[in-house]
Amino acid sequence: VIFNSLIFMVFFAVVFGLRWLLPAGWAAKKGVLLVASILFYGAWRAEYLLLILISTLIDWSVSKRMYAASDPATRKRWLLVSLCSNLGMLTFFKYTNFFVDNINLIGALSGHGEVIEPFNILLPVGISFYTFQTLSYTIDIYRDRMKPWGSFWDFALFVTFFPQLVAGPIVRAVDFKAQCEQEVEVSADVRWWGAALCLVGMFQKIVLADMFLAPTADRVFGAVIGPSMRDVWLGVLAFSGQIYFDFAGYSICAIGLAMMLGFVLPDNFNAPYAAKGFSDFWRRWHISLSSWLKDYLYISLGGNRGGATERNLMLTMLLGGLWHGASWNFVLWGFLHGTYLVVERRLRPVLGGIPALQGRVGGALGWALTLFLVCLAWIPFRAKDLGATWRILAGAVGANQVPSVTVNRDLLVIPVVVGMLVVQRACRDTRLEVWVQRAPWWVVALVALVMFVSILVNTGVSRAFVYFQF
Amino acid sequence: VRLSISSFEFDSAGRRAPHKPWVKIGAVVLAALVVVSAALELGWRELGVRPGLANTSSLWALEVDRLKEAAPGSGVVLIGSSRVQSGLDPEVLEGALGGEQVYNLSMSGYGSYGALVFLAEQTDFSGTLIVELWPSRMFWRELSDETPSFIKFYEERPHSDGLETRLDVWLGSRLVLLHPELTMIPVLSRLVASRFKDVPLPIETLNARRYGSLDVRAANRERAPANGTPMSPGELDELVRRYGAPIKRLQARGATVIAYNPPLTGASRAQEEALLPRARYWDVVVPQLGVVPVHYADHEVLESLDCYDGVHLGSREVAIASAYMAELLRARR
Repeated sequence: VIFNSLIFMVFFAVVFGLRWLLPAGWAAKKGVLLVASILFYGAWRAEYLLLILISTLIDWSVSKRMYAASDPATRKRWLLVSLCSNLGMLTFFKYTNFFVDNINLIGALSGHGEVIEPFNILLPVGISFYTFQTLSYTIDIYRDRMKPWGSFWDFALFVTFFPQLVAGPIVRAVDFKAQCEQEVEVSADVRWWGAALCLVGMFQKIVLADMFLAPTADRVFGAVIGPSMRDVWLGVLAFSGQIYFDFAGYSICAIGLAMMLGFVLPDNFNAPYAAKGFSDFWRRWHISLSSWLKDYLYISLGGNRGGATERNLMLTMLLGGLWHGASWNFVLWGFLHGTYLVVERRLRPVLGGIPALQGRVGGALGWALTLFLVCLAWIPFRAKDLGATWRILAGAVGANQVPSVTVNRDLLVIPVVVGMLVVQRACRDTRLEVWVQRAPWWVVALVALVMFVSILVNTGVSRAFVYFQF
Repeated sequence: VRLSISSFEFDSAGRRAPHKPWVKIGAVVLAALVVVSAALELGWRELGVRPGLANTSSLWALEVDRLKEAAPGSGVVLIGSSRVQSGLDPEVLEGALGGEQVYNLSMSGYGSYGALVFLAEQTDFSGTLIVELWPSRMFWRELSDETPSFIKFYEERPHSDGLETRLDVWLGSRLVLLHPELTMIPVLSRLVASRFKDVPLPIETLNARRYGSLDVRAANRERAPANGTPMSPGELDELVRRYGAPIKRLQARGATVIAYNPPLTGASRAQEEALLPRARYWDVVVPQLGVVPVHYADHEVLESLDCYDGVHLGSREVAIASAYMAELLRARR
């Protein structure tokens, strides 16, 4: 079940009605949301509910025991139980065949070794997201930063909450707990604004990502030969826009749906293509993941202490890349971003001393360079494998003398991406809410109508969200 | 609780919902949406466009579910690329075959091999199979026999997919507005093109109930002929072995297998005849498979049909080809 499907709209209408109209207390309403979340996930694969249940039960029990133990060694043992069980499940479902492929590759290169058949393993939807969510809970308790939850059902709702279960934003237990404990008074404005955010998210996904950009990206990255220089740059622009509108669109929908149900989720994107520098980019792109990696991986590795900052940065980005998928392409993507961050860190003191690079000119240069290198890194992220990555990179510098696979229609990518950049630059230091507050009501109505009609006539081209595969 | 462990790193004040006359906005948008949708729906119908559905893996899976409920020994299954998917009309075939069920398991953009293996291994089908054996989809060395994505999807599809797809089919087969080919870009480019090049509307589509939908974006230009490296005789032997295994399995269950090469015209036909001459490919492979051959060049009715883009038949030609195929099937029985 995905947000851009008719059946989800029916499902959500029922849940929304029950949430607000049920003449019952907060506990019963949370029960409705928990049942709805279980149904939502079970609609994909009922048998995989067992995995979430195991993860929920383990972390629930571990956190209680860990909190009760006074001996640091015992606490550490319980933490290891949580880490091993959560990461063990994630590794089995996500990385087993990656290991098999690499063993086979090593066997083939060394000229001996039997080929191991890949296992028929179906990746449970959302496992990467809910694993990180439950891990943050046990780690926070281990670090004495929070107490275990009192209610198992609240904790189960935290793990399975359907608006963000499949692809985030990754919510921290501390943020959700306060909202679970007491029903928050929600104004009509908030519910309407939640609906408006869903509309914006759907527009980004169905119209901008799926209709305008995805066909070009598919054509270029799916080409079996080439592609030519023109194709590569059009394809890179298209995918840069597609991945943003697809994932940001999903996140905005998730935030909007949660708001309509009376919950607040963290932002996941904040004009990332307006970033000046790579640390700035990672404060704006997939914020809930990058802040998770910073707090639970980078800091655990030592962070800025002990002179190993660059090693820690690189390791964090490599593992962050691998989190996206079991492929060397994602490792390469992580490596590129790790390198960008390390180089930026080294250059910052040098560049900071050059007066010509300060002010608007420096800012514009920093923005353009960041944008270019981020877009370049999308090539391994989207390409099928390392061979295809190399072929596309060769095309980027004109080394592939092949006919173009793009057509005139693909040139539409340029105004769409330019429009995206202009809006993000304008939004860099402000928020959508501020814009809407300032706009006359009829402008808001007109924009909403255009979005609705565009979505309606383009439903035929809609496809699954890119981040569902992670 | 320390705030630093929170994932909220934004200015929470900025998250405040804007205060607007939302009820008024909602009412105006809803009213305008109803008017615009009704106008679009009526406008498209006035132009003669009928409802159509996108060709998806979900629809393919739904058709397989229907096939699995079929009685043993009955039914006609179509497999192949878009040339079969939108080139034979199941309703015409059913009408001419006295109501016998026809299952369209062809998939645009794919050859027959994946569906052929699937049909042999994962169903009990034992009726009549019309399998497209199109030289330009079979005899190039570059073609891959990787399991098609729609079969992988069938094996891994979500539990809710059937219900979801039925709902989409129900709505999509009633509203022209939701037609997959009537999205913004093709419509706008057609309108712009019609100002300069007199490109005609209405758009040509097949019946929604059968999940067919022509790629109308290609309808006004001839396709570039398919290309590749022709297979060597040794590779053809291997091809016969691979295609032969599922065909024999189906025949052992009592199925009749018909190898169909649909009409081809213009540059696509010229290229295929030059690079994949019939005497060296079709006439060598098909007899070894032990199937009933239906090559368009052997049938005057089929050969006389024109493909609008060189490889696909238009709706008028589809009706003729389907009626002729039904006649061949009846004659065989």
